[in-house]
Amino acid sequence: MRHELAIGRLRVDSAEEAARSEQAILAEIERLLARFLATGEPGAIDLRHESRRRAGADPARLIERLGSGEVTATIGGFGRVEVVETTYAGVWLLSYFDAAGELETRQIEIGAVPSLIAAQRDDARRGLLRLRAELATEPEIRPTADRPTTTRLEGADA
Amino acid sequence: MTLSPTIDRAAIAPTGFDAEPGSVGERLAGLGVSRRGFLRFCTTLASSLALEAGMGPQLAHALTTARPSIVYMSFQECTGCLESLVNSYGVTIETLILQAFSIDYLETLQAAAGARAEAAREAAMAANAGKYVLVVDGSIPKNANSGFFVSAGESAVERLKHAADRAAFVVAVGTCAAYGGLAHARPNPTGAVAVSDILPNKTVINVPGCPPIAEVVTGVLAYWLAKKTLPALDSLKRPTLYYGHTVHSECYREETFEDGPRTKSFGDARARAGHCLFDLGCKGPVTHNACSTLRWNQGTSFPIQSGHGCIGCAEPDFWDMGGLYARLPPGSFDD
Repeated sequence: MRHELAIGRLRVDSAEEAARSEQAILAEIERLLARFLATGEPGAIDLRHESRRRAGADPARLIERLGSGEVTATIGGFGRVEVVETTYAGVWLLSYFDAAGELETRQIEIGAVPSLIAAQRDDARRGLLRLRAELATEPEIRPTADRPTTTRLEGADA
Repeated sequence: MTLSPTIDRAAIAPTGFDAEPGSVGERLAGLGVSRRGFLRFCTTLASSLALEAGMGPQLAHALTTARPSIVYMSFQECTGCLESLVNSYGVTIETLILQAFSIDYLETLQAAAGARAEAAREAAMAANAGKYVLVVDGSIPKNANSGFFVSAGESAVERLKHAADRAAFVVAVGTCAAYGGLAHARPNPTGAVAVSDILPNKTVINVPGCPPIAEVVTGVLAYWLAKKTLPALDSLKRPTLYYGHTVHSECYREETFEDGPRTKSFGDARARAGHCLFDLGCKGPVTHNACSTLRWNQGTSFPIQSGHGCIGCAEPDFWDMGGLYARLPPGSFDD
């Protein structure tokens, strides 16, 4: 209930107001997408913030309008984030939930990949270190004449 | 982080990220929060504070680096502003943002007292000259020799000027600090004025309200923390981010303001059904604040939602507006 109060307005003034708000947000998405194509600069729109500042703004209606495209992803840990590429490539919908599963906010991100999904170099380097450390502690498996390499690797995995 | 033959277990843990010692980020990383988890948190934090979309990564960076200093000083006040800020509800975004700062002086809560407390404040101001944030609540008796408000042998005017001299900027928290507030109400026996009246040449941000919404106070600090600049201010030095609209214009009861029927008595069927409280003296049409959008207690509710009209506490001279339950006269507001 709390997130409904915080995110959605308690009323939708009229269909006309809702349509006007939706149009304004779509125009902003269009501007950010054009800018991304021209300059590579990503953009973001906080739908919670838009609900606050635009009379009649209805996130559910906008989300339905944008639709779901080819890509979906879920990011876990410390709550979760559901990521959906809309039917407009490069326009992503990110829904943020807290650890109790309550919706906290929704954002539209414009770009090739949402920044939250992209792996950071420091994290990749951390992964490399961990993989090397694990490999260093595992016994080396030497090929033998009577068993093919692929079979030996499968055995090591098990 | 460098690749080394010596294995550092912390450096190769599946979660965690680099953050400076003592920062909020370091604490969260120590709890096993991943970089994505931290970024997710900062994005929702920015959203909760009504900061612009895309500020999550900037906030994340700010929360993983060194903590700026805050000197918090109280003058003619009731401590309600500080209560609102730090004691609203357990561990929240407000307390988290405050932990992103080093609060070097806050006489209401600090353990030190007397000369030791004053020495700590002087040391913090000297060590962070030009960089610390001065947060002030309470009004200031304009006449330094009036005898009203003397602390550590100094008048309020002397203390405020001294503390503001080397501050990066000043945040006037609450209606008393922003406009004089209750002490400034007629007949204003102490000659109380706003902080900005004493510091005409200093950058002062007013965060009015009696008390102000906790998220608004911390939102202003978070904005500066993340963007290293101050939010846009209106002619009364209030951040338009939070004070750009009236409580009325964003109120869910507003739709019955013109067409009616309005509520005629407290707690009646119309009041419970969400009809407009204007006839009961609601000051929402002339009050600029974020109560009807951010709401209070983690977005749970606000006075109008509880059936009581806005009393206009975030506006100058609200105590002298003519009675909390008096209807606003026609022509006194735009709709």
